[in-house]
Amino acid sequence: MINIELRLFANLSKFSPKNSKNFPIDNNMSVKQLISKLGVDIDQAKIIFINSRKKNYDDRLKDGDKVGIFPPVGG
Amino acid sequence: MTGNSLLTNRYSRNFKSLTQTEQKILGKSKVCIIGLGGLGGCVMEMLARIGIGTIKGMDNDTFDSTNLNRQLFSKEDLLGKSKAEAAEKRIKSINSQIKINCKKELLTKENAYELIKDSDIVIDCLDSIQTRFVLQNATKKASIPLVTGAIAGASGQVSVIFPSDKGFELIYGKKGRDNSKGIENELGNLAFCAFFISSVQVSECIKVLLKKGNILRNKLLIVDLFSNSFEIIKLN
Repeated sequence: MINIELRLFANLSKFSPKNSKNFPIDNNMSVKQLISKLGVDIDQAKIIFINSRKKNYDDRLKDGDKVGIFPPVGG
Repeated sequence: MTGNSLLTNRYSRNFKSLTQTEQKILGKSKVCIIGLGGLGGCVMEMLARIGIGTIKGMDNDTFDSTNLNRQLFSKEDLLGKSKAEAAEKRIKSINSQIKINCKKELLTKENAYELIKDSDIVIDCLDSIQTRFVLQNATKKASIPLVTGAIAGASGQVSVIFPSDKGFELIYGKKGRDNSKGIENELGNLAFCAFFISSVQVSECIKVLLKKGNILRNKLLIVDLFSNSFEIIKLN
């Protein structure tokens, strides 16, 4: 297991786990798997950033990563 | 105040954050604002007050009562009236020394290039993801930088797209062009967020025109004012 820091923005904040600052996940988990684990609709997880850099669904997570998930905003 | 002192003093509080030379550059600049709702109204007001010499705006819409919570130019006595006409009238009353031209027109693939081609910079204040791609195609063709802003609830984002940048594809994905929907229908739009994001758009616009400061090029500022989260993401 590894630990990441999670931040979910706007309407996704309701999916934020209580232990979001130190959230345990399996080694080598992908961004897509993380989104699924959180119960977030993949279409709502429009912008993923890890350590302030935009990432893709297939990117893998490392211990200590700071992960942000931002929904599509069009208004 | 006399006409002369108006001329002398109007921009006095811009100095020395701006230099006299920079003020002159702004006076010669042409900015086009696409969309005159929550973001566009605030953007236009700030550009007029800071002294952009030529401002063009477009919006095909009329005011309704749901606009009153956030749209600066909306007023109870303007419900049903054109947003473009209201914008032009207000801006003329704020700064008679600048040129203002607002059109009641919808941005389309057919008219986008003609509408923006004479501008130095374009500001995206649209409310549709698909139309943003139409606008970006036009700014690329015209080799004009684009400042984009979008809001939903207490959240928003701002970025600056130069003609050679991938732009919206990096923000909304390749599929965004066809089928992306934002969360604003779910969360509505709050005045303080519209005013905040429009302020950042104007700041980016001024910095691009004056070639100063750090610009959000290939970066996206994302903001969640409920959680006080502010993040600048590198897009590439």
